[in-house]
Amino acid sequence: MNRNVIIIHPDDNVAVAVREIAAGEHVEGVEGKNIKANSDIPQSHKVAIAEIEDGGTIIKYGEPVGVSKGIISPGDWVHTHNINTEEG
Amino acid sequence: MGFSGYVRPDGRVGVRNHVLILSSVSCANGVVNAIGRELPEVKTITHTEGCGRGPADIGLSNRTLVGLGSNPNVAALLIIGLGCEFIKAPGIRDAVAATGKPVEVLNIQEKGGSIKTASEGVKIAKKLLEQAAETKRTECGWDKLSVGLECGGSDALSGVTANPMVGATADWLVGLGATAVLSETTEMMGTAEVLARRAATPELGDRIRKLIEKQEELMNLHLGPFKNISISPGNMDGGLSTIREKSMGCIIKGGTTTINDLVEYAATPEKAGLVLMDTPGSDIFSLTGMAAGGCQIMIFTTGRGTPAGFPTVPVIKVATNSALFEKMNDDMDINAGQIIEGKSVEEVSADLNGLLERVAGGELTKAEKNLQESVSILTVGPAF
Repeated sequence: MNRNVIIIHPDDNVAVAVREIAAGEHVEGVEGKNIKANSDIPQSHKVAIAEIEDGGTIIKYGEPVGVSKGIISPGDWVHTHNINTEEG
Repeated sequence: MGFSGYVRPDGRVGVRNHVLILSSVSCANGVVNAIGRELPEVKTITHTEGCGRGPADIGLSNRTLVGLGSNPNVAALLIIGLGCEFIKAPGIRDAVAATGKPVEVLNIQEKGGSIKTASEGVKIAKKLLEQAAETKRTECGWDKLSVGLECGGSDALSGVTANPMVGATADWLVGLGATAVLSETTEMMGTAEVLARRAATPELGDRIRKLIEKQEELMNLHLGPFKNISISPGNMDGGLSTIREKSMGCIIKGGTTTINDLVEYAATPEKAGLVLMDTPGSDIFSLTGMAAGGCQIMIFTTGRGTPAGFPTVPVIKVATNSALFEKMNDDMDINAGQIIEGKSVEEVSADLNGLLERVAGGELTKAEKNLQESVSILTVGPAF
């Protein structure tokens, strides 16, 4: 198997792209969910695997690592453009 | 079940049986090196410290030197001093001799110079090598093992492949009764609450919070406009958005168990299980602190690739990606990049556990084969 994301902790709402994922490409390795990338996801960047509300918590390693700016949908690239980095 | 090691008189267990030649002060380095050239089977440690520093640094250096000599991988110790330095060689000898291992001292000013001291040092070292060879490996419990955890030359995959894999191995070690030492306070910034919550007692949790606050103040004081160096533009390009995210990727290599203690740089933990040590993130300073704190093996994850090792402690090098594992294969022991190719964290961690067991039993790491033997003692103030 050659996956394109890793989910580090079962509680995480983001996965990490282990190679570049093109817009529209299926995000493989998320059980029971059919998620497509909403934009290009650079290698080692985060992709949302669940809906995250505005001001919601970004969870990676099973721990909060940031707070969202705006609604984040499954398949969205998650980075400094939609995370409030001051809260991190 | 356990590992096969060398039982020392104080009950601690070495995974190596080294005779160490140690400078008490930088002025003695030439003689230490001369003995090392004559007898390649000994290990040598030279450094820049031992004199001309304030009280805080003298204390740090003294604790580090005593710790390096006391490490159970060291069967016997020969200290080379100058004579007029601040940290006196006989003082180190007395502290290390408390472990019961053979310790000898030579002072260059007493012996009449470099050549005479080196020549007598070679004779003493030969005798110590013969004595050390009499100790044979025996089966020991895992509770006798302390493993240091380090990451350096990190890349965007360090917190995704290698560090989670090492975290699983840290959990395995703690489950067996061993000690795992998580260091690099710099890399804990932003995770004070996560670590404090995992502390065995509320008091320990408070100490962890204070440690990380102090680290943040230190960085503000000394780095000024560069204080955000801990999350660099390169980290951001690699997909890390916040300091906490970066630090989580670092502390994950300590696994998920309760934190039982927090010790100062180069101090030996008294409690087993997961323990924090206050060290800088800078690799060689951190490795030196953990070796002085009694770690018999260290596991080191790297994404960019670093060859670093330590004279007396085997360092297992974990590559975060397959490209690095192939490119710097002479320096890498195991490939966490297999996780990307489809192996689970549990599978690669089991491979690492097996390697750790073999290294404990005598298998040489790549850093040992390459004689990668770097030492840097932490200092906090100026030289005078």
